[in-house]
Amino acid sequence: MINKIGFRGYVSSSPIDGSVIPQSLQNLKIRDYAKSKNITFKLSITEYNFKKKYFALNSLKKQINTFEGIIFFSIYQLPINKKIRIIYLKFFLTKNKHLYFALEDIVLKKIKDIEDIEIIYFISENSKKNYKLKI
Amino acid sequence: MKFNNKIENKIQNKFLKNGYYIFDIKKKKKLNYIKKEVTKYTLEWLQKKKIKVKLNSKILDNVHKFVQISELNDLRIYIYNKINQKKYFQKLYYELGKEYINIICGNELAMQKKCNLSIQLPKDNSSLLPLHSDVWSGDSEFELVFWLPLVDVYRTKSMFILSPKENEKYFKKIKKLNSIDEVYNKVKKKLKWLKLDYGQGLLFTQNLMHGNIENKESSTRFSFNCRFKAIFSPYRDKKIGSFFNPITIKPITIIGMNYNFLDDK
Repeated sequence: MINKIGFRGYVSSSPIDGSVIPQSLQNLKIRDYAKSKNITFKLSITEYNFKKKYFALNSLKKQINTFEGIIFFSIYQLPINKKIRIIYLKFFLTKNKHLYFALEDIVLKKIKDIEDIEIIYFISENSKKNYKLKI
Repeated sequence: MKFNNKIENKIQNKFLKNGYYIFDIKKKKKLNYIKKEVTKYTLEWLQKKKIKVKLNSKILDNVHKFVQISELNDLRIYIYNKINQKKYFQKLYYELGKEYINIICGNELAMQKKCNLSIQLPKDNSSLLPLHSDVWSGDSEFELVFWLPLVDVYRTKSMFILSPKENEKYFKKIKKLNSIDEVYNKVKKKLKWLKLDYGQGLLFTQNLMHGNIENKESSTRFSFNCRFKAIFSPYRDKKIGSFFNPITIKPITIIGMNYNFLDDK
């Protein structure tokens, strides 16, 4: 019998929005977030550090009937390419899986919720500037 | 500024000259509601600790009579969590300063997700924010702070700020100094202590050195602070999504965001 109860965690081994975050800290945040939302956290799956490849996300697609949803550490773990990102999000949402993003405290439950994330991606991409304080 | 009206010009010029702007809050009912909520949570916390207090309008000013310094952070976090969990709070807070935030910062905005609460008891040096500029620790230089006292503030019960002119002068000297105490001693005679009555709000740029010292007055300060920025201005460590939330996205931004050029992959 397959246990469907609970949410899978999703952590990354490559930088997230430019910062390397130890997986133990990503898991800590996900666990704490799940507790605050009163949802059951199951084991996390780790995304490999392959560029533009999403082996772990694809595994979750195949295991779709074994969990209620996914708790990502951050929205910036999602594919950078907008079209690919939306394909993944739509896939899980059409299967009635709720998607949580712990760092940003964002929840996607319906297709129309995707816009919340897309706005943030768009602003983030269009307001980048690298500089250091000079004294 | 070219297309401003006289009032906008006056506000903007004052802000550029001083680095801050103090205004009277017009939506007094909304402000009173926030104060009432904070008072309610304070009383709730005191009740949990089995501390009996007679309800009066000066409860926040007098909270030091009931709270030990060692328990202050517990109270602060209790109120902070309670009020920030309320869906209406962020909107209410923005509305109190909206008119002036729009003039100084813009009207397509990102807002800090959770408003910070500061409680400064008399003679308490455990929760001070010594002289600093938030830009030194990862905030964007494009952020505007909306500081909202829930009690009258003056002298050491308030906060200080350095003028843009003095800030520029002393910031250059920082490389010759080695600690914040040394910086503070250099600038302390130049600091401006801000006086605000309950019912007034303060907008300031956190690029300027500012902070507080031990509250040497006889009553407690309760104040909120929250950051706003033009949505497409550069972000630093405080990111959109985790720290900031878009609050006033305009339709043309949504349309532009979803436009696909022919050569888009």
